[in-house]
Order: sequence, then structure tokens, then C-alpha cells
Amino acid sequence: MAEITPEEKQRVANKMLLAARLADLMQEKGWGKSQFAEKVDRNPSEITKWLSGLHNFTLDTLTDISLAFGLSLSELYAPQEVQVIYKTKFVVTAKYTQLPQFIHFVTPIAGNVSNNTKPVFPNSTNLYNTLLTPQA
Amino acid sequence: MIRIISLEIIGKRTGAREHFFKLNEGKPGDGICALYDEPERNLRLYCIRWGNVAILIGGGGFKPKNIRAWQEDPLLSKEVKVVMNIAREIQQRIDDKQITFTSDGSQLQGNLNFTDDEQ
Repeated sequence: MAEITPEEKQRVANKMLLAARLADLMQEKGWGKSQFAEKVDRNPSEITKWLSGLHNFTLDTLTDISLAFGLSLSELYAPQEVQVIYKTKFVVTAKYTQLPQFIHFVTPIAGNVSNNTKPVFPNSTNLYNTLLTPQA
Repeated sequence: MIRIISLEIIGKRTGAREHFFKLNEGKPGDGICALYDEPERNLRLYCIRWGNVAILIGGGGFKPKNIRAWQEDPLLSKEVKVVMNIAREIQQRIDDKQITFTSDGSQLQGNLNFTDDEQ
């Protein structure tokens, strides 16, 4: 089997990371492939190719994409910090003696979403029991 | 070769994101998909995908341009059917609690031995 050169490896990595970035940006905007395709005046099938992680983008296409997202080219490529992928906030109407804290679920694998919505109280008191129990 | 690099990046950096795969290559709901390959190469690598966190890499082969689906090619059919059988067996073992995900959701654990007798 032929050796994989560092250049080849980086080319593949760049394409896949850019595809992941586009998918994340689309998710932030709430755009499906059709909506994104409309924004950049392409067919949805073209978007599928962009997201496959194999596409070799032209500078013109990258410019169109960055404009669609309202970003500069450098912002499109900017390294992404580990993102908070889930954040919940709710209003408690019952009196309580402890201040709730909010859980931020963080994962290095973008797109992995947690379904846990419970906040954590400082003494790990169960939220729902606290809400159901009137506080003095 | 590109596919090997892609799998490494999937495992270490991006996760098994849906848009890297051609979905619904098997029966509805069995999770069988194919990792995208460059259009001019037409190589198919069939996998089972569980969300973004786990993929089982099966076999595959060259997809001739004169066919539209793997069912039309005996080699690809054989490879996909192996993956389909394994997918079905894994799902059964998950239902029977013989296979579970680790607490961090990153790996499968349990009875992960499969024999030809089960196909």
C-alpha cells in the first residue's frame, strides 16, 4: 500500500473540517440543504457534495459561502473552540432557597447533542422535587 | 487511501457526521450507509452508523458506473449483505441487552463476537 503523505493527509483533513464547519453554520442558521442552496444560488445536490468532505472548493465558491453566512473568509476558516452544544434556561416561579445553576454540555465532537435538561443545584438537590416543595 | 485518512479524521476530530455518508444503503432503519468517495473513483465502503459517535466499518468494493445500486453487482451485494446481517444481529443484541454503549457513549461493549453461523 502506498504511503500517505503529510500533504495528502492535510488536504483531506481541510476538506472534511470545512464540510463540518459548513454543516455547523447551516445548523446555527436553521438552514436545510435547500435553503442554503438558495442562498448561494446552487442546486441542493451541490450542497450534498460540499458536505461530503471530499469537495475541492474554488475561491469564488468560498467567497459566496462566506457572504451567505455573513462571515469573512478568515472567519469561515477560524479554528473553532469547543462549543457549548446545549444550554437550557427556565424561569422558576416557586420560591426557592438555592440559586439554580445551568449545565452546559460540551463535546469535542460537534453535533453530539445531549438531551439532559436538568439544571444542577449547588447541593445536587433534585430540581423537580424542589419545585414541587414550596420553600419558606 | 483517502478513505483511510477520512476514517482517522472522523475518529479523532469530527465524529461520524451524517453528511459524510450516503445514507439508506441497506433497508430502512438498519443504519447501513456508505462512506462518500471521490466521484471519479467510485469506491464503496459500507458501514453501520450509530449517530455521530460510532460506526462499524464493513467491506465494499468498486461500483461500476453502469450500475445504479449495489444490488446490481454481485460483489457489492455480498459485502452489503454481510453488513446487513451484522447490523441486524447487533440490533437484536442491543434489544436483548447483550450489547450496550459505555457510560460515556463512546464505545459498544458486551457480546461483540459474531460467527458465520449467525448470518
